[in-house]
Amino acid sequence: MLAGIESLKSMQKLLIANRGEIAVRIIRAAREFGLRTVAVYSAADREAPHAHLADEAYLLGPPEPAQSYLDSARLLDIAHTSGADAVHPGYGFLAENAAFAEDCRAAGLLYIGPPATAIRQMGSKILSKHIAERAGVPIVPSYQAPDAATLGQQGPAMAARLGYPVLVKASAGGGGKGMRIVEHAADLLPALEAGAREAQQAFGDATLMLEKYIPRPRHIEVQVLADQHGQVVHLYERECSIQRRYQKIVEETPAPGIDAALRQRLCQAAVRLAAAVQYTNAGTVEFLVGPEGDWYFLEMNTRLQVEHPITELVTGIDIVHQQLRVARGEPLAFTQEDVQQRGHAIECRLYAEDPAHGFLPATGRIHVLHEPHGPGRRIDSGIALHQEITPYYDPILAKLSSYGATRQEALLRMQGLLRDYTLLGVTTNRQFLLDVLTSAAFAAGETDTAFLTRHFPHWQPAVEVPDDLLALTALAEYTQRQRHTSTSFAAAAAVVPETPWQRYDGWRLGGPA
Amino acid sequence: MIFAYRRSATDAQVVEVDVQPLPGREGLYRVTVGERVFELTEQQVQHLAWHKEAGRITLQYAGREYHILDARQHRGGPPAGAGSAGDLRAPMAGKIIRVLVQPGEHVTAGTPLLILEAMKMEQQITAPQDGVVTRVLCRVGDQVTAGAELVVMEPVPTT
Repeated sequence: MLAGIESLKSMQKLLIANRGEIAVRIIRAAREFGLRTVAVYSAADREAPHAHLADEAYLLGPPEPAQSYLDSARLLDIAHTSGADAVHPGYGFLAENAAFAEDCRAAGLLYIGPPATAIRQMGSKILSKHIAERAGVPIVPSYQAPDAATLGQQGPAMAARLGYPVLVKASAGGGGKGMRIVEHAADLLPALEAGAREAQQAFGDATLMLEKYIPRPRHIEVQVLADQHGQVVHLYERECSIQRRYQKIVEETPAPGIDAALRQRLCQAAVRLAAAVQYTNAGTVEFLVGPEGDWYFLEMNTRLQVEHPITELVTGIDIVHQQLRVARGEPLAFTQEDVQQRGHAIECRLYAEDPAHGFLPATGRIHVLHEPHGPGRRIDSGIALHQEITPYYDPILAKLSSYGATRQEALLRMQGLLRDYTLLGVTTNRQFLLDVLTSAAFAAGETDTAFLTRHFPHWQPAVEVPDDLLALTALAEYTQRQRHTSTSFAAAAAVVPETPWQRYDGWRLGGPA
Repeated sequence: MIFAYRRSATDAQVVEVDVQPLPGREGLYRVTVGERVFELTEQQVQHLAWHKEAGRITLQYAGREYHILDARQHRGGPPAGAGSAGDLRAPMAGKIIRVLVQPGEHVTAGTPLLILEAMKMEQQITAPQDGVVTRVLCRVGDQVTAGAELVVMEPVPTT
């Protein structure tokens, strides 16, 4: 079980192979850890904060990810040139690429993440489920027939054994194509025929499988940390059910709607699975939890997770610091008994997208930015005033987190944070998040993966502007014009905003009046 | 000084707002909105976040977001980049990853014309109605901005 123990490695200089808020987060943590830092950036990210925060920064190449943040050869080159001795992949990009982890280690670099074998095993949909089963972690019951004829013959009996409703889906599939929910036995054969046609069209492969359908599941995940000395601990769970297009937008911990016994079972299952693949460093095991409290392994993310801050808020453990310690070969500085869940934390992901138009990504320049701080507020931001938001990467702008002694307190603080956070110039989902967080359904903890389609199916920001606000807007425009006509152009340009509030003038050089 | 606004992109009515400094009282203004009169100080403006671009004004006040138009700079209509999948303009900035039609091709409503990719998301641009593709204004690999015209179509006359 103790494979891969390395003696304490020296680590002086960390290359962060990522961008945006997570690069900023890791640069700060590395600096607190006494490391020098190397940032990388694409041609589209010259203005991005992460490129200016590190001790050194290197241009990767053109904006396209394949020629920049996904170019592992170029990243290894930069590691060599800069004298970095460790690489943190962040999340996304190369973070779950086993070959990149191997290449880093082959080049003599410390890779801040798990062994390549664990990345590979957990990266396979089929293999990861076999390993989970062997480790005593339940998976969603399913039936895979060798061919269509067998499925036609065995399907009805197998579906009855799984228990209706069952899900018919394409074996080769993804993205919901060819997928059907079958409620009654009589509907099974027609669904298999139609599903096979659709699967053939979409994937060129008509093979189908049956799976037990979990109605209105909750998406709950468990954070684990493992050192190279065989110790695996969990840092409790996160509830991540509020999703749009299979992407999370609100997360919280502890998860509402699960009891202490279920929490224990999920957390212990996550630890068992991590141990089964000789996992090291930080990872996340995702589960589906059904309405009856039934639970199933979904997948394991073999990297730092976007929503890790809320776990840090309730456990007091800096996960990035622990990642660096573990990678260096140190044992975890605490045991499972030391890890306590205190209070409640919520995270909202601020995206450059338009929730009123199908959550389409939005681009543009940030003209007004105010990131408000205060008790129980944490902002993980990767953006700056006047920065251009380009179409090349994930639309996440910042993560807003709140902490409170109770869920109610954390919720009120999150609402306040969303009200005060101001970003204009690029369309964001701020108002949508605020409406979700102030809804009765969210307050009641009715969080399952169908939450947004059930409660916010056709959300519009439509609010009639009151007369007094029109008056204030006109006065704002008026005073701005007065300022511009009473000072010379050069003098006006020299008025550098000093407080966040003074940035609210909407004025920009060369912009429309 | 008179300002003219529409309360939303679809609002036909123009609201005139008159701002007049109150003589002898520095920083104090009388602002008239239709029949209603407000006395406002210059300081109150500090609590309003606003941004104006191409006649569109986004406001954030007391945590709530509002969208209005400067009626003199913008005649209304749907915003660029916020069109439906049937538009022949780019609904968002991105890269053309597939062009599925050629000039002269007859298409029916809903036929995929192009695939646009941005921020890891693919968006299909489909024909809004039956017709003939007369021009394709983009190529695979092109970076396009939101609202850029991508395809020109002529509807088929109904017989």
